[in-house]
Amino acid sequence: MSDTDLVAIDCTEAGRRLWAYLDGELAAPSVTEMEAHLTSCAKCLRLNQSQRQFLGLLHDDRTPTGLEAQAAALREKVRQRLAEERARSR
Amino acid sequence: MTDGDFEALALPLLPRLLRYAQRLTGNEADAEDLVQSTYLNALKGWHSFVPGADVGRWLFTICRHTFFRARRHSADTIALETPELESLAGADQASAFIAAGADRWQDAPDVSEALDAAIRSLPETLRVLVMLVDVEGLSYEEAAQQEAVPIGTVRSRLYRARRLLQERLVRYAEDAGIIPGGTHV
Repeated sequence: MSDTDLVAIDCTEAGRRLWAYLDGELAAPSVTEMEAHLTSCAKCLRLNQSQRQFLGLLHDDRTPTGLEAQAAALREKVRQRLAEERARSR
Repeated sequence: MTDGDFEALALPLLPRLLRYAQRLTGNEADAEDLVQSTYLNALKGWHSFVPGADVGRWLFTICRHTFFRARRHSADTIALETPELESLAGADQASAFIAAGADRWQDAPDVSEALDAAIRSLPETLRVLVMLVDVEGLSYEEAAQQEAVPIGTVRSRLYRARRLLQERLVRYAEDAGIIPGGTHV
């Protein structure tokens, strides 16, 4: 595909494509059009950065500190269930 | 690989698995049951675990399969817009939030807890897609296969879920005094 085949997209179209772009689900020509728009539009670039940060937080699987005590109690229950299961299968 | 190896490798991952299960099930009691079932299923399958493979990924996959096997498909239906309109609505809303400085919730110190609470509050059909795509990193196509729905439905539900999450997180930030009240649009 040559540059002349690319279509200039506006903010509305960029908004429609944003999530698919951030999820890596856009086809290559659409990605190129999206990135061309982002280089020329500060508002959409800011939106893109904010939404990317949001997705990064969703993907973060570190354990919040508040969960440790609950996890410790559950770990003992799990140990007990595993021991029972082993005894049953012997 | 012995049963002792199983406990040494798998049990330290329990806090992460518990958080995952809480987000997936939406409540603490079901999450604890799911974690226990996951470990029992994992123990049964331990003989098939390939030494050197990623224990965490293996456990999380067992957890997800255990959840989906036990889950009855919810009868609740959600009025869906097209994926394009959902995405556009999300972008419009997020732009308004950003213009008002409302995306500062992302810098809050306890944002993980707020985010988990927001995920748990979503309807199950939306919550599951957030877990599959946003947490586990499945593609839209893989999530569609898992949920047995068309890809367009995955997109609609996912984009709606993200919009709802952001609305709830803005409310949380207002309540916590991180941003001024009345910011949401």
